[in-house]
Amino acid sequence: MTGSVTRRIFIIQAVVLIALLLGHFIVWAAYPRAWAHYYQGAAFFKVMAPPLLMHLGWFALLVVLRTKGCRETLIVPVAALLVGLGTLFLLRLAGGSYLQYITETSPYWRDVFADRASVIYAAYGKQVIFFYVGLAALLGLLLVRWDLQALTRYKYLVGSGAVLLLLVTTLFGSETGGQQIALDLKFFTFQPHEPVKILIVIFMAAYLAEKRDLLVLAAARARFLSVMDLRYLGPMIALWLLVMAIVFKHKDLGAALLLFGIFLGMLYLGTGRKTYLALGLGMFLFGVFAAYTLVARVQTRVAIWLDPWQERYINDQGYQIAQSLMALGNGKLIGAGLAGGYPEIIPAVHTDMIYAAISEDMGLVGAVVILACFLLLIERIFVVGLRARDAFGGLLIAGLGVSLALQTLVIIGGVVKAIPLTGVTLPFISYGGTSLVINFIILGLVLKVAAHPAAPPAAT
Amino acid sequence: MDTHFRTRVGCLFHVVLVAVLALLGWQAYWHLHGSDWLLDQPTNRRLTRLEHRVPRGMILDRAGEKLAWSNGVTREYADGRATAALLGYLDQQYGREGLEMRWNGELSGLSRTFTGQDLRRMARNEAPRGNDLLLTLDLRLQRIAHDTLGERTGAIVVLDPATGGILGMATQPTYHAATLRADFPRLSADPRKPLRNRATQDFYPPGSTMKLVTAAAALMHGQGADTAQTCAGGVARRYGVNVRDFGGAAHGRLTMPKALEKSCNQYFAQLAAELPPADFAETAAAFGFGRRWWEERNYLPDPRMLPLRMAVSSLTPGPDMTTSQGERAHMGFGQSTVVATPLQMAMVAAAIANEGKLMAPYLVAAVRKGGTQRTLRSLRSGPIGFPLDRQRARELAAMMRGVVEHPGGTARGARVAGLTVYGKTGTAQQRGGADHAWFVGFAEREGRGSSPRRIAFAVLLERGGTGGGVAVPLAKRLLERWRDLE
Repeated sequence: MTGSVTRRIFIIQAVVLIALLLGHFIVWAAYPRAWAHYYQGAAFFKVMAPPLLMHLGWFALLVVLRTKGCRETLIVPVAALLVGLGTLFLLRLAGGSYLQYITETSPYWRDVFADRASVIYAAYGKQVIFFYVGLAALLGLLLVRWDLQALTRYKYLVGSGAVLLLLVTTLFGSETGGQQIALDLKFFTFQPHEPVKILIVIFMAAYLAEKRDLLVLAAARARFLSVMDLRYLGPMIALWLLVMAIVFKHKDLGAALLLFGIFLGMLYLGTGRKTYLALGLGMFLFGVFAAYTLVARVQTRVAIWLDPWQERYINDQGYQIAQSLMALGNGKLIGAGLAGGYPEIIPAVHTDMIYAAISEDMGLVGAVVILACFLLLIERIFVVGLRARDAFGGLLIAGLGVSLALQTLVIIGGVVKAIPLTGVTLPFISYGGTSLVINFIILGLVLKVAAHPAAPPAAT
Repeated sequence: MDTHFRTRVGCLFHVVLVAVLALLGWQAYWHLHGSDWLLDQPTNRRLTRLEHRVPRGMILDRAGEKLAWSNGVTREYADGRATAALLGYLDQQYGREGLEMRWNGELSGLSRTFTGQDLRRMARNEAPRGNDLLLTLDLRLQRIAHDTLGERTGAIVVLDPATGGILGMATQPTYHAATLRADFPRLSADPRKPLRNRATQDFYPPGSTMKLVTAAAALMHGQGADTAQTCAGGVARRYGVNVRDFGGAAHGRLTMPKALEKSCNQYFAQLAAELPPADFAETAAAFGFGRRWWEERNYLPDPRMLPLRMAVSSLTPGPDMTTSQGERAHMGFGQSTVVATPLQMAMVAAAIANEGKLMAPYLVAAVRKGGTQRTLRSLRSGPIGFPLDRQRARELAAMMRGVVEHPGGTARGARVAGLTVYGKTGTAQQRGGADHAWFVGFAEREGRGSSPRRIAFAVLLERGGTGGGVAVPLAKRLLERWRDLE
């Protein structure tokens, strides 16, 4: 889908809107008592309005892209579908939890579901607000005149910014479940590792773009490693090691995995040297081994991953992943139907485990659709990266693509028990203000680069 | 950007693609293969949630008469005692059993198929409900069988020979499904094992009813109905074993019809002993002996069609046990190592009644959309075997008719006005108590009704006495009441 914003894109966007409206209609029909409780009248309009209003934003974005002559636009409807599905499922999970709450007989579970219903319903409202914050940030990146190249000049500032953010979290962060990953800012809790992810990508892209020629030279001199490698890559590795150390201190395994993957991916993109890849993978294996032998928490995580059904885990730490798998099992091929399954049983279903909820209601078919959307999104981002005007733009966009892909793989892999479960959000879909806004910023950077692609080779 | 960058990005994308496909494959395992296992996990709250939210489906008899239905979370029964052994039970403390367990997915609505009706229901804000099961059972016949058996220990099985459908199956002692929770400790401690279904789970020596199998084997392997043997009376020493007739009677030289009428052990001992062992085994296998036919998809396309605990009826305990001629002589009249469930003997009668084609017995005939007349799935069984051809089946049926009709036949007590009855009695000896009384056969009635024209049956009374003396009168009572059904 090259070409500028065509009628075709508007039609695709309209189809996405209709699909989401149908979904909201089903959810409205499924939980009348929940809506009567939450909305006190005019429930139908209050359920159906947010997708319409959110789509006003998406259509406005398409109009802006059209005036900019942006050639990469399929990204918009795909992202709109993912975000729309996310909010739709938040609403559905709020309704489902409320229904569980009013029909449950055991007092313990009544309390659990009463709590879950109010948390998820509040999350739904906030997510709609965060959507507009994110969209505003995206439009700001597109409309305000600024040169992306400016970022290269401040790369060390960007890098130190990442470290600083993490240090602030170490000092003032609130602790949940043994992890230190959130800053409580009264209005909402800020997840610093989300922006850190982008800052690291920007820093590495700028660094690698600048040192590109030297790195090529170093590679030409020595087939393996030489002192030159360390001299040129030294500062970058030092900063990255610092970041990793703090993340480990926070015991945030998901972010550690993500940052490691981003580092390796960008190193490969920037230098193309297999030696680094092999070395990185070796370090990864060593790191996993070291973490496994030294950190008790990692050992339990792995044990739960291997067999969550054990008696000592199933009602405790293995409960979440087991419930996730049961949701998949209930989903079967075509799903239990929207609002037909019971994913609200899964703890943290609206943040980390939302993929399990979608897989239960929409089945394997729905999971295929979600994954296809992510693949398409990542592919379009990579294509934008290839069309970028300069090395920095290319590395930046491809790096953001890698980060998005990794995050998707890490959380989905965790939900389906292919890898140990770590608490990261599913991009665009999971509830989480920081995550959603950051994903919009990624989108904004991608669309900004897409709006100013490299001139055709003949003109240079 | 240089071409190297292009290849690197392409390479990374392929890595992502492969990883996504691998994850999808892994996920598909839980969705498709692991599904049933996951749904049955004790920590899966979906089951209990559904029981509160989704009305459990009903179990209906062949005419659509309710056998079991749900009222809130309690299960109610049309006749909880007569149908308990067939339907199984459902209890929050003691779990699920039988049909309620095997079909839990459909009944609870977990594996329901989404249809247009569901969409309309959702639009009308109606709750979903579990699917209904339509059985082959005839509640009237089931009650008749249950009443006829009364308090006697034993079993009665009634089959539709044309389809294999189970029309009725009574077992005693039994329990009441509705009061299971209170009775369970007593029931599980009872040495008479009331929680077992004697019709399918327990086997007995079939005694003289086995002579039907021996006769079929002989007819199908070169012998005619006119094959004559001599019965000398008393205890005859043959093939190294003793063969004794009931009361030590001497029947003289006789052919197959007379031998069946008189139930002559010496005749059938000779017939069986002189048949090549493989031929006898082949016919017995065609009747279902020695086979776990209920596990094979050719016969039951869905193994849950017969959601009963089953025991294998067999000639010998192991599959390849070599037998001596003497053992085979005893097998010829249903002693030695031969054991059969009441269902197995009803199948023997059904095969003869259906002109040699034995249809696999089954209980669940259809899945219906909950609360509607719409059939989601129709289930039919296939033929298990062809132990007889049409002509020889008719020949054997004529002999069975003689057993009931001819003066001196052992089952003269089973004559019922208005019906044509075919049968064979059996009095099986088993060490450690009185004999088991058997009567197996089939009956035909004129005219059309809601019940099939022919039914096959087996009556077994554990340690009940003689077949002719005890089982035949019960069968007569059963058949009379069947005749009187409209």
